Amino acid sequence: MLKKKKKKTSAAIPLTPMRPSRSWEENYGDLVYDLFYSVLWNHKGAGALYLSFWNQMDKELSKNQETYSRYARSWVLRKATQLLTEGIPKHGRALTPSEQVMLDANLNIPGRLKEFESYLHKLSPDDQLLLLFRDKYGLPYEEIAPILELTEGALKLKRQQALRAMEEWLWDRT
Amino acid sequence: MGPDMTCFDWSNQASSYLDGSLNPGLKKVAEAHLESCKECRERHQRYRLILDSLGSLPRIPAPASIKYEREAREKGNTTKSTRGWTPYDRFVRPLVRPLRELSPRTWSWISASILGFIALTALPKLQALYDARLQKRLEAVNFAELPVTQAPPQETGETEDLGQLDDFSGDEGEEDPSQLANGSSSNATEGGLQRASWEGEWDPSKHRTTDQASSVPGAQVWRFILRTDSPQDLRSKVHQVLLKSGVSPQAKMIHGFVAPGGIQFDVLAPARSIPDLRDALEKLSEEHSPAADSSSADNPYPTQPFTWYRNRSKRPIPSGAARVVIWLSLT
Repeated sequence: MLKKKKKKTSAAIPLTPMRPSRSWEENYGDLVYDLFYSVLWNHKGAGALYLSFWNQMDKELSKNQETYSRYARSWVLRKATQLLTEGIPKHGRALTPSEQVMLDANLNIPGRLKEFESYLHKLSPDDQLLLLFRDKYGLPYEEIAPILELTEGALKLKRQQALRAMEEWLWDRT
Repeated sequence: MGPDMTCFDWSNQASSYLDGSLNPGLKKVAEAHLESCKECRERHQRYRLILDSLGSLPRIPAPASIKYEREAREKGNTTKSTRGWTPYDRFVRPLVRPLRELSPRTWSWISASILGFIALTALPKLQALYDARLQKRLEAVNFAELPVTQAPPQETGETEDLGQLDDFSGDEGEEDPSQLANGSSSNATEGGLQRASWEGEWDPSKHRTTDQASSVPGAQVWRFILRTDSPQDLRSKVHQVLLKSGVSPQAKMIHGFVAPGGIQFDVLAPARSIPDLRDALEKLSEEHSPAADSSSADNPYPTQPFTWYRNRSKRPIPSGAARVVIWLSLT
């Protein structure tokens, strides 16, 4: 049921129009790579996925140049997010059990904040992407919604839940 | 929502409150709640800390090496893609990149310089190695024990009139001393004997010899034949002549060896000393020439007391040296 709802919302949410002045790589290449690295958490996987994305964009742009010239960053990020979601099982680096134990055993709050990225990766990929888009890259909800194929309300709720989870892990409020 | 906001209400609006997107009325209510609720205030501070940490995460640009990887893929080089992207590509390849951007002209200059340097440094050493190997081989050779080798007959050989040389084999290989002593002329013309001229320079193109396939162009074998009644008397004198000519006293055959019909010397001598050696041997020959034979008056081809000739050597001889074979023939 949830999947069906997602599909309906993604079709209804329009991308935010933009007008790119340069190629996608010049404009958003670094952004896409940083997104890949932030979620996959390793350079090797990020590099491999970036190359795949580059190949994909070559094909996509030959067909959808007009779409890119209209939506630019939203369209690129949506494609990148779709590829990233598919590539996480293959290229992503998950916390090992020992790392998980080390994180749980750390009772020092400043020490936990130093391991902020590790706690961030305890979140689900969707939540990570949402926090990164909204709070690292500063994208507006209107732009994030079509990328993650969720409504703005759902995004706010998910963000609230993600923050709550992070707070509980970092301040040991479980 | 009423004038008083509960903790549950605030948690629902926390995200919007952090973004500053609440409407002014709701914002006032939320702020009032935060002032009164310590727990929500602390939570708000923690949320703010989390968002600040997120915002301060470093942004990592795409490595330049990925661009090179793409270029390689575009050119059809798929070998790298199979092994994936590695830290080597990130850190080492950018260092190698400037070298790859050099023009072919620059590379050709660099290659030529390297080859020139190698040639300058290695060739003298190679030459020294070659000379040492040659010397070693020569020292190992015992000329007296070498088999007699006959060259194939020359159909169009430009041999001169052999005359007095009829008794000797034209092959530059080791002669059978007994054959020399018997004055056999069976191989004289077949071997393509050459008479050398002291007046002019030796021109290989004008003088065909038996060893056309000589592996040592220019290497020479000089043969001197002295006819005498007493080879043993001449032996020590020839030895002295050879020593004066610069032949090493350590040479194996410098004392000569006795063979049926005479004594033979076979040594390496400096090429520049050959004319002096010839003169000295000729002088010796005059001093020890055999007594005149009464039958020689009827002989249309009388044997000469001193003859010489030269031809090329098939065996390697060091540059600047020549092989000298002296045959003291018992008349």
